[in-house]
Amino acid sequence: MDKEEPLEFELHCYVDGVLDDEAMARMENCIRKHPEMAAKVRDYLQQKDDIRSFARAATATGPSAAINTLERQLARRLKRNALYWWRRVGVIAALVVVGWLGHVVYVPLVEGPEFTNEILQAHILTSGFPDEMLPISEERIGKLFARIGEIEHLPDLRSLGFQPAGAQLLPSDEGIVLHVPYRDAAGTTISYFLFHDRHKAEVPLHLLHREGFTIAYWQHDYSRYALAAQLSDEQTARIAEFVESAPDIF
Amino acid sequence: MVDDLHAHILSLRRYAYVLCRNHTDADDLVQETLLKAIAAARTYRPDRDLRAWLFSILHNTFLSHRRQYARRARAATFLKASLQDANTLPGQEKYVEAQHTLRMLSRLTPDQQSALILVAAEGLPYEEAAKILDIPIGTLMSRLARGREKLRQLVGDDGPNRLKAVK
Repeated sequence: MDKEEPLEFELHCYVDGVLDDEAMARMENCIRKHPEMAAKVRDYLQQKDDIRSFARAATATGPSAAINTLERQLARRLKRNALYWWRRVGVIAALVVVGWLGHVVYVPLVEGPEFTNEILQAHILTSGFPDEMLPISEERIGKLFARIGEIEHLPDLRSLGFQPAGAQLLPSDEGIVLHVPYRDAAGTTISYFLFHDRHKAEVPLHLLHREGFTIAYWQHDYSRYALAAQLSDEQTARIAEFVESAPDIF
Repeated sequence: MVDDLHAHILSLRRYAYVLCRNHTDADDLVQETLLKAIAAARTYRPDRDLRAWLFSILHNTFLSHRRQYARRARAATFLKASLQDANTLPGQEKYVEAQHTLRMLSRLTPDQQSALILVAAEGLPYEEAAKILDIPIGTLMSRLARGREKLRQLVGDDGPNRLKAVK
């Protein structure tokens, strides 16, 4: 087959005028060389012309009254439908916004901030295996407070019967958290958490319950506090109120 | 979109006329198409191509009454051809040629006819014609190619009889 010979579909594209100028010129060159191809193209064009001229007769007379009436009815329906669709899009968008707002506002109210899940896991781990915590010293505590960007102040809970059992830093979605578990003589553990927020805020004390534990959280200025313990709400709230005003252990 | 409705209905009438080959059936087909479009207007998405949507309805309506329309088209073409054959003057030869092409067009398969009419009569781009017929563009091109070749053969084979009638 001649390398320059066009494919069958190109012949039809030529007849229907969908080739670019370069392809058209190439086709015309081939048509000049091949009379049988020229005859074919001429016949195809003639068919098109015949069908088109026949079709033109359809609109030589105006549409019937019935078609005009139906056209008006359809136009009205389509206009109404367009409004309906936009309204539907608007309702869906409003539902998405309401859902998102609900998620943003309602979920923290009911379930507490996300970090409460992380601190609860940390508390469960350390209360179960207190020996795995590194012991504290004034120097170490100073470094850990410096790492989280807070002024060193480890609450002294000895008046409530709790001694610090260790200290560690935890990663969380909201930043690095200082975790200090306290234990009393009966082996009850209460975890104290502190991290530095980039935004200043005042959040009053909130209590919530997870897996049998009570979690308390609040914020003062840039400092966000949390406690986790297997204690009653009253006990946890009393300790939480004491924490901020408690003297420094060192 | 809706502003173009009138122009689309003119196109529908042309398409229907070539399919049915007579005004009465073509108008009936367009009317039925519009009735169906009105009934289905709620399901029409405004971002969809209105012309393609209307043509799809017309095409499907035609297919569902294909036999009925085909019989009437055959009769209409036969009657017109007989009248022309009897009274044609030499200057009307071109008209007779066109009538003959249309008569032969009815011998193609409905799929080939639709492909040819949409592309030839309405000058629709291949993509849009394929969308209306709900087929891939490759299938449309194949139907177009086979339909044209078949029509060429039919028109050519029947040529001597036709010319004789004209003379």
